[in-house]
Amino acid sequence: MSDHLEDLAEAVRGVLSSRRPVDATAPAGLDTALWKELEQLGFTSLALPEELGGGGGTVRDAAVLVREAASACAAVPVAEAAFVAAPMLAAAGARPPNGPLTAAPGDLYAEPVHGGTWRITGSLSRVPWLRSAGHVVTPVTTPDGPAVAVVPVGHRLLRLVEGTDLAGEQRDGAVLEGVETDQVFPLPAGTWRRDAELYGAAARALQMAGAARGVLEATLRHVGERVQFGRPLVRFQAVQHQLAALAADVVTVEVSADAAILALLRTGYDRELMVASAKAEASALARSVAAVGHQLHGAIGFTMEHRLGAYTRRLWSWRDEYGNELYWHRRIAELVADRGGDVWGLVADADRRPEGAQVHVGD
Amino acid sequence: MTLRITAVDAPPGALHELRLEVREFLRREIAAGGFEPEADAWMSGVDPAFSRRLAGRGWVGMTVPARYGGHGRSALERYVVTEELLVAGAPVAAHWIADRQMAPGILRNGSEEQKHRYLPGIVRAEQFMAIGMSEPDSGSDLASVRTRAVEVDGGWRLTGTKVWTSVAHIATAIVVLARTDEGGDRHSGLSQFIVDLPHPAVTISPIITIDGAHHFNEVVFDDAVVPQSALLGRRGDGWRQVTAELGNERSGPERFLSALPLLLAWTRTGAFADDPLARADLGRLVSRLTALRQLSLAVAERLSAGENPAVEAALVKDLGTAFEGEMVDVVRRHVDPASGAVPEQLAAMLAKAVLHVPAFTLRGGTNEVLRSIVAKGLTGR
Repeated sequence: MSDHLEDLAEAVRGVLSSRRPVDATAPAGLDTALWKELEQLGFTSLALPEELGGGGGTVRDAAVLVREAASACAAVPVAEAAFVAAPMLAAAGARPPNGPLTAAPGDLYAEPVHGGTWRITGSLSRVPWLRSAGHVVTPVTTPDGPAVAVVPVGHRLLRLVEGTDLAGEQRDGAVLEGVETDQVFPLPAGTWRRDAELYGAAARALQMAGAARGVLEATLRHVGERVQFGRPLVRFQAVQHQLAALAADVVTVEVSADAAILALLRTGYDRELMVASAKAEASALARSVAAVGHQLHGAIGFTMEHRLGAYTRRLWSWRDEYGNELYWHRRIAELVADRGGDVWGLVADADRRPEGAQVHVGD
Repeated sequence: MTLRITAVDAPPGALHELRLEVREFLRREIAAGGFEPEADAWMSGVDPAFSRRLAGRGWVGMTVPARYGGHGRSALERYVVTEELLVAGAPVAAHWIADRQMAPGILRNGSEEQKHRYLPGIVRAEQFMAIGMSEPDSGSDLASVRTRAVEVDGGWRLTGTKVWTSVAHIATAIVVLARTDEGGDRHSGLSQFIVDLPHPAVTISPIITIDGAHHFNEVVFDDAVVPQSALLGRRGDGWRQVTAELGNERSGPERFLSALPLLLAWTRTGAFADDPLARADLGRLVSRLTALRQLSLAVAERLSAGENPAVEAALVKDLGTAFEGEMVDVVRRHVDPASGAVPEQLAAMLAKAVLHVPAFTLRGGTNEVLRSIVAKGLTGR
């Protein structure tokens, strides 16, 4: 990691240091105090251009923030802000709203009504901390093409359907029955819904890398301290081999997530494969990472009083969001089929446009 | 220790021109009947004439400096060429060990005389090398080797037996790990020797593997006397030298690409396209392949920076070799011989690959040993 990214990670860790989980209890809701602190320090708009009031950072900078927040199990939608909202807001030249914002691709339609006002109808599902956020940033379809909408969550025609995920975090649906706002910004032609999905998947892969590392660190500590049959667990070969398998899985999730971010940064043709692989590996390996973590912790790790569950519950939630492994495996097979079965061309020349490949247009 | 691997910040298509050049060469070779693509050909595809044609293009001993007859290319350039050779299923076994392990080993530890004596021949694919490490009673526990080298007038006398020695039957030299000194801990007192072949007191006999082929040999040293100059590196430093080579041996693309020619032979038939289950399985393999390649590239970069990421290399090999076996099994499941629609070449490749699978997780250190290395690295024990 470069010095700049290391410094950034250090700064984010500083803000998050009081938030590290002590047990597996679900957060009470969105941590608005933390959001405010991150917002004041410019972290929540890190990846937006400076002219929009952002930090002018890259997706790599945003990745540092998201991973650190996930390692701390922080209850703030920074992944949504930095990875899903920021690219659309930047492309539309729109400033982010103040206060907590979340983001998600949904199925929404916006039509202009009068004097710059738009009326939005449609639905959103399982949006992180929707009920606690001031706004939700989402791609919408308009009669003139794609746009991004900054929807006020408190609007009377937005009906919330509250829910929680496996980690106990808020995941709310919403039905929009003609929400009126002037915050709809046209986007240049592009695959925005697909991109929001891609960036969301990359963000979840990063978060899972952070949580998986949390499992590894907690497990390493536990097997070093816990004594059975007169010796620490780590002295048993059966335990050592489980640890090695755990570390291999964690490192795989981390490297795949890193590679996905680098591909997004380069905006090459390989970004779809790299993100697909990152999310598929993270989702597929969540099972074994959590399984080894729990197995080596024994019963204590299965209790609410131990923080292992804070990581594993998030892994189990995040593996299904923005596409589980089967979803992305199928997407990868599509990429292979587009190249006429040339797996190697896809993997080794992925940043080059395949000859005669289908280019996906529209959403 | 915190085990961390960071993805390489280089696009996968870096060195694309070189990649295309190698592909074109291989395409012509196949078209001209120069070789038949095979899975796991880096172990079983022995073809000295092919190795020499490859050397003619400057693709053997690529990273050897020009003053030793090499091409002074970067480790990443070699990595690209290696990948393409593996993916094409080219018969590279004759020069593989010399190129991968012994050239770097001689460069690192050899005398000037040894460098001039062996490296130009390796680069021209005229010198093929074997490595004598395992013994009948020393497999995973390499430090227990019993082959002895005793100092005699003007040289060394080697006595002992090596097994599983790939390409020894065509090699022009073998690098032998032998005990030179007793006492101290078991890792000290080992030394490496380069023994020129053929040698009157060295007997090489085939060990036939379950695929019916001759890849391995037993190599018996019956009081074989070699000159003083045969000692590679420092006396007693053999263990350190050998383990430094393992980084090169364990993290390369041959640890996850051995079965790729088989996968490609299957996907190119297009048979997966209309089968949802096949598509899901294929997607899983390609996802994993993409991830493992990132891991391998990251370790390669650290190797080329002069580090010895032995723990990381062990981790990559553990994951990669298990993956290769899975790849063979996935293809097997989707290639139904009863359908009558399986191309003959695919069926033959599959049959051979199935018989090679057990070797994937044994050669170059069993996966159990690798996991112990990773665990030690993690816990500092």
